[in-house]
Amino acid sequence: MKFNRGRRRSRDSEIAACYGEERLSELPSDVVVKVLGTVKTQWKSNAEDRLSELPNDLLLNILERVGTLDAIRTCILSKRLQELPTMLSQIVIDLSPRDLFEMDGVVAEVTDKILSTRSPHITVHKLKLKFFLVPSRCLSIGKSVGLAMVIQKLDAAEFEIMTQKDFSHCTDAHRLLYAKKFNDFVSDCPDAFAGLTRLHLRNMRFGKSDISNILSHCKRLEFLSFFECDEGVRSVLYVEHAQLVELVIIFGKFETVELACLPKLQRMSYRDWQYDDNPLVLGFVPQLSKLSLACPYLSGKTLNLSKLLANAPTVSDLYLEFRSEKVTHCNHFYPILINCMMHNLCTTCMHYYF
Amino acid sequence: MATREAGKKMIMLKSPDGMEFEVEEAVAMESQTIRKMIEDDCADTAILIPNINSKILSRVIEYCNKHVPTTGATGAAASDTVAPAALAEDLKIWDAEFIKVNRATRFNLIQAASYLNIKGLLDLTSQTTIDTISDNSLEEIRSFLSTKNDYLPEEEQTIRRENQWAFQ
Repeated sequence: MKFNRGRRRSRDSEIAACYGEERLSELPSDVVVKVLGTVKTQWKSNAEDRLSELPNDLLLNILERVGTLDAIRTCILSKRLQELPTMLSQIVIDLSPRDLFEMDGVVAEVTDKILSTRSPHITVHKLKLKFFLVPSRCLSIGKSVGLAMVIQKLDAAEFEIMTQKDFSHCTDAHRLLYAKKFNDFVSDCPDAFAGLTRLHLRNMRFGKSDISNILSHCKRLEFLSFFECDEGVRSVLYVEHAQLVELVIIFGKFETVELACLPKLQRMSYRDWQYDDNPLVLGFVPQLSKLSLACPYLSGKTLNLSKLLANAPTVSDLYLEFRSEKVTHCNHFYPILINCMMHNLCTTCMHYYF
Repeated sequence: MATREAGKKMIMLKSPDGMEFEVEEAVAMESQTIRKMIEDDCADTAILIPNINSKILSRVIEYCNKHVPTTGATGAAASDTVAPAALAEDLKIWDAEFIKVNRATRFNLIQAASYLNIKGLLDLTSQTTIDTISDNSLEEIRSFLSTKNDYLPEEEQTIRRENQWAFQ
């Protein structure tokens, strides 16, 4: 289910229309109570089937199937249900971009409320928040999550950080500004980032070694994705991290991404790089098993695959997608595959277009 | 009573309203609660299933019959000849028909699935319930969830003020 304000609004209107009004929510609340009383009487014939009579564990099982905002919205309807949001073991606020534009402030407000009122004895198995990079709201979210990480048990925490400008509307100046704001966010909320396990960033042009600095703050990070992020045109990114399991990079103007030391990295996906001389260097990645390389939209470039894959003996699942791309040492493709097969390459998915 | 019929071990399930259901052991063991009883040798005589009336229990058995691996209600080893994906699709369609019940029955099925620990049935009934809720406006959900309004008008106003976003 999606949190869909448009749909609710139209439903409100449907009900309100039954009572000759434009919008039920615009009525004074004493009138609303009376109207609701009438609706309730109509439903009373099925009175014995009240959901709220189910025990808490079953109600929580039902409520955790939807986003946290929908769960809270359902629970504020009766005193009996109102205590339930503080017992949720999953907190997921992942709105569509349109809803997020309208409700970004609510994400910070609800996050603070739900984390500050819950019992520290109930573990949060999953916390996922998607929000815009607005300093005051980020600070509020960062402080709430940071405090929760110190006093409660949080198994997994995920931030997906959106920017107001996206895709073609986002200029290099925007990207520089967003990177600065994000750096400030990290240094203002060290507790939150120290416990974060998954992070999605987009549209950020960092300064040299900013990314290393962020990674050193995010000690527990297991998943990192960059969309249109880099450290400048033709920059070289060295990645070192003790816990990272999966890295995704899409677009961005890195000349080279060097996976220098990632002892736990299992999955790497790199799409749409700009410079083909040496886009990816595999260093110490002893557990890398799944590698996906896709650059379908560039042409006239050369890529030395055999060199790239030479240091990936553990890869068992390789996905390659290129179009109009010259793979140098084409006649080395066969040896590469033989080589990979010798290293237990069990799934090779090749999309090679000319 | 554990009996044998056509080479299959049978288990007797009793509902509190006195009905008895003889089911194959494999079908009954779709319930983790019953499985544990059988494995702990507590199932020699009929198993009384408390709080689940015969109407609901018969629906639960119908579900388990359909979902028991390899040999289902048809008695044929379907999975040998039908592709797993087609089988899964068939089950999905069957589930969608099975859950077309009134709310009272669905909530009873939730409680039964929870007590008997049948994950698939609990998932199906819970997901259907939340899908139903999500299709309704706030006011509809309120009437759907609680027939008693347990807020005083002042309390209701406070709730509205503190959670304006939810009412927009």
